Amino acid sequence: MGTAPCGVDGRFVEFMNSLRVIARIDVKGANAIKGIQMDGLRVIGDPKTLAREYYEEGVDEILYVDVVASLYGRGCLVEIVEAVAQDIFIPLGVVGGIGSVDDAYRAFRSGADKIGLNSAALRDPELLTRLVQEFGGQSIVVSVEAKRSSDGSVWEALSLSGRERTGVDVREWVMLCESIGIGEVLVTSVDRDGTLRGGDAELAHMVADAISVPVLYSGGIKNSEDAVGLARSTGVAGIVIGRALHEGLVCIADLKESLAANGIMVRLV
Amino acid sequence: MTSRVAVVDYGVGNIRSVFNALIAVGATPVRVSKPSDLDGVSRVILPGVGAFPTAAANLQAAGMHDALCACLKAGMPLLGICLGMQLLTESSNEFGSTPGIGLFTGQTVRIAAGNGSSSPGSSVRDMVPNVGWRAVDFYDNSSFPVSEFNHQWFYFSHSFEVVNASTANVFGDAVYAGRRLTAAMCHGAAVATQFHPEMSGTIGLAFIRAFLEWNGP
Repeated sequence: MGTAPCGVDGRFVEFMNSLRVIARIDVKGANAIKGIQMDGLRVIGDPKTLAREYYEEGVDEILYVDVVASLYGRGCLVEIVEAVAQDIFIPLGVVGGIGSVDDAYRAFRSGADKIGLNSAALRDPELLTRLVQEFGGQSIVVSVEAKRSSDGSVWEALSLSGRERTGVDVREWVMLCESIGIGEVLVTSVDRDGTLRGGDAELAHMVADAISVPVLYSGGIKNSEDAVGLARSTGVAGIVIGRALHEGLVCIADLKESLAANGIMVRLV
Repeated sequence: MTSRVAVVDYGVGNIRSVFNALIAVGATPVRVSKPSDLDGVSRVILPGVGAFPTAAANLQAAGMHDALCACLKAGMPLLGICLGMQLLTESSNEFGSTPGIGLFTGQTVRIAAGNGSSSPGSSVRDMVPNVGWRAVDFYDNSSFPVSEFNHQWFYFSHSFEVVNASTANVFGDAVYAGRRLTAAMCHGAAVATQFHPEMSGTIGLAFIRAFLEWNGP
């Protein structure tokens, strides 16, 4: 299972990608917050302190999601990112409030290593094309807020942090984004976000199966077992954890040990 | 370690992460966008952001192409990161063919996923672009010290890769899609990585520190 040793030039090689464990910190103004199903936001701490803690604990990447930036048309998290980028030396992603090439420049200049777009991309997919040409696809992430249809068979992409319906089918949308040349897709299950009810493996699998760019799954991860199960069954490149990390239900080192024990390649720190 | 290190800014994207990493290891980064900015620096970092043709054109227009060639000729230690490594190859086929600085034998081409799209018994696939952490195998065939870094994990984020590299130039590679991906190159006092040491945690900072303490062959 997992690593498939095979002698090439007398050395062992493994035929698979590693899995990333990513800490998600939702931000509103100066505070880290967490909602349930993207609603009922509660302050949980300082976004800078949390990022530093998770970095020290060996997380592979930090993701800041500004939950109100699109709604108010404000700039992104420039100050928080500037401060945190001085202390953490792993990829720092910023999602929320990026609506133009200029916004993207501001985010990168402040120390973001990758940027994620949702609402602005849904409004104007051409913006993704311009960003890919300007910065290269690998640093452009499309963030998808997926809401399951009432009959459970398909998912709709929501905009404005899960507040607005778009009628866009998630599978078609991520395939369009891939054809534009973006680097990664972050898919959040709106139904599971902040619920600690477990990840939506069907959603993760559907998206990972539809495209060949790396897919990062977010929403509902409740413990290490849940994360391992999702990683094993869906083909995602990253497991994004928010509330379960904030509440200490997942310890990064233990999770990585479990992943490794289940044959999934992870960076052990 | 108070060396002044030039960080070449060719106008696109994030050079802040390289700045922050240099400060964290005790160096003084200096933003360089034109040749005269190089006065008084002891070494150069060519960071990796954006598209090859734009980067190559911007370096030419600013006179930095020639200035970098002069640095290389003078034996000044230089670290190329990601696109910074690719710019040191002969050419790239990103949006048509563009010549590079040509220090390294080899060309920069779009990554081919190869046979690794799905492997038996694994739930994780090899994807394009190559974004994520990989273990890098280093070889002791250059003057750059590698023992500390062999088999350590570094962060990659790229859609293009260097192929047909001379084995004399390659001192590190990683497994990707069941084959070897060029991860680190060296020639004279120039060292270059496909991965991003500035985003590779503690071991990445150690790599940058090793570069700052290295004076070439």
